Amino acid sequence: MAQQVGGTGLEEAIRLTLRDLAGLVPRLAASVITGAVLILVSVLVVRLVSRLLRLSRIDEILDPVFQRYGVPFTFSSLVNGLLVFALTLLTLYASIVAGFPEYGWAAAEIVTVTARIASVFVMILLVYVTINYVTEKLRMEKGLRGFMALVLFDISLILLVDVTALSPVVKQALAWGLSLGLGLSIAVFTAWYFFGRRGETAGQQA
Amino acid sequence: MLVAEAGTAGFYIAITRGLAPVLLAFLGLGVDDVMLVVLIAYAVALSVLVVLRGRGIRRLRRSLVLLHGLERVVWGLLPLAALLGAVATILVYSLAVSLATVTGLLITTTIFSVFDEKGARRVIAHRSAASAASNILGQLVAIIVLAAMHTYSKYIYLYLLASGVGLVATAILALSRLPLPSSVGAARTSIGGEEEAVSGTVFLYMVAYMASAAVLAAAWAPYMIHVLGAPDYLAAGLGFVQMVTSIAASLYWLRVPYPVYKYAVLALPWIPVAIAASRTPVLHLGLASIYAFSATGANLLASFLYADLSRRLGAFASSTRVAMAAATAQVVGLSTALAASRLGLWAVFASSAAYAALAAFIALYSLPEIALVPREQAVVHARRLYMVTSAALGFVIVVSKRAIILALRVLALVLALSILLFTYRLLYYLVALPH
Repeated sequence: MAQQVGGTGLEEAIRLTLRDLAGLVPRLAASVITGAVLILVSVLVVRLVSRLLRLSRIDEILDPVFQRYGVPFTFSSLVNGLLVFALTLLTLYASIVAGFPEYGWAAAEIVTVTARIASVFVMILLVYVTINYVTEKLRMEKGLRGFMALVLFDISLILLVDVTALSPVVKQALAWGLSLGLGLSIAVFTAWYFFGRRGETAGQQA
Repeated sequence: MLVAEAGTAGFYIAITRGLAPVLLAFLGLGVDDVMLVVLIAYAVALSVLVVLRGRGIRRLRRSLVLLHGLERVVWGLLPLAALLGAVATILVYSLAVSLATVTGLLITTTIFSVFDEKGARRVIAHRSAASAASNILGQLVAIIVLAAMHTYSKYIYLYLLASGVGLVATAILALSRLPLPSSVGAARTSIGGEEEAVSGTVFLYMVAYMASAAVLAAAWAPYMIHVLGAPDYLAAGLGFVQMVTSIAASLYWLRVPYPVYKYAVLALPWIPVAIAASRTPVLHLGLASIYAFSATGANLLASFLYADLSRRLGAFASSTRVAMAAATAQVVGLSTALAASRLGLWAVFASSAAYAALAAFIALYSLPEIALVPREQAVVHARRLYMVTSAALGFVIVVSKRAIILALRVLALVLALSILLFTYRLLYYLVALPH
């Protein structure tokens, strides 16, 4: 009797699962088709923009400026990268919404979070470029370059903490700690940089 | 056959090209806008000629018949394109003007390659007279239809009728057994010697007097209606009088020797001055007649000189220069008219007179056939003028080319950044709006 009930339950479960899966097929198909079409359109748009940028020869004008500031990419690759990023998000969003409109909020959330992560990377890149430029400009020694790398690491860490899924309290504590550490290390470095020699001379005299 | 073709084509040209500014004005474009559209169309036509000049034309007979027919079909489509909007109108009008310019080039090439100097002269003058006669008929039909009907469909009827009549001219050409060469080569850029210098001078002369004519055509009728308060029919009568006069003038100028042409050239600069000075509208009909008589002489002089030069320069090179001179003159003339109209109508007439005076100066200073100085001296002048102009033109071409390339590059960059901006805005609205 129990076997019969169990057998019926399993059959029922399999039937329901298959029905659910069958119900998902058209929605998945809509998602996949939308994604495929948008990927195709994206490839065409990226090719068009690449061709337009090549035609404008903007890199010939901006490359010397970018090299001077130690920017590790060209203007065209920046525009292309931003375009690919936006088109990827668009494709992702559209394919979710096409098949599963009730999860539109989730798609929007994915786009927002991805954009935040991307903005952190952009900030890190900007800090890297700036520090690189300052290091080059002041012709710093090897040790100082190491310090600059430490500063860059600290700043990147603070920015990364902002996009993590930690609780607000932990986030705040980490950000405070890292910021204090960063401020202190800059203060110690500045004191050593400007008054280090005087200290050494005083030490020798003593 | 070629005279019969011109006889049929005159009717078609009177309606299609003659009515185009009226059609554009009917659609709500102002005088300046109409001039701008025509200017764009001729600039496109000039670019097409520059490309053709370097490449030559293969299968002359087939190209002539095909382009001749296509030109008529495209002109017939103009009022339909005008219904689609301004961009479609400009595109179709530019295409039609370009095709008309190329067809004109092919017909001139045909005349220069089939006939000798005397034969070419006779055909040019007779074509001019036949075209003017059928042009009058075309104008009469246009006036009757425009007056009788009040809806936009009158333009569609007129253009389709003109297109049909124009295709009869195509059929005449297709059936003709003209001994045409199979292909014509690219125009030689430099052949050196007297011919090159004289040909360059004739080109300059043509550009100057045709620019004067283009400026005058843009200002004369508006001046009569708006300033002198003349009735519409009197303004429309200007074209009619000019056409009638040019029939007789073509036959007259064919019979006179070259030195007589200097009077036609000398009369041209005074006519814009007389137009601006004359306050009696009826007198303008007389001025139109004198102008048409002189302009026909000035026009035939250049065509005859090119016909003479075609033996040494090559039929295609000569006809390319005739076509390029006409297109350049329209671009120069209409740009001047647009700029001068901001200062007032007096400035437009003054610029027309200045261009005509420049044409007269070039002709009497350096065209050996009608120059006031001995032939040898005129050739020296022509060479000097040719060298100075070539250098100036070379500079202008280089600067224009660079400016166009730069503008295209900036346009490409703006387009690329606009696509990027569009994508991000789209993403922003998709994410932000529903939630």
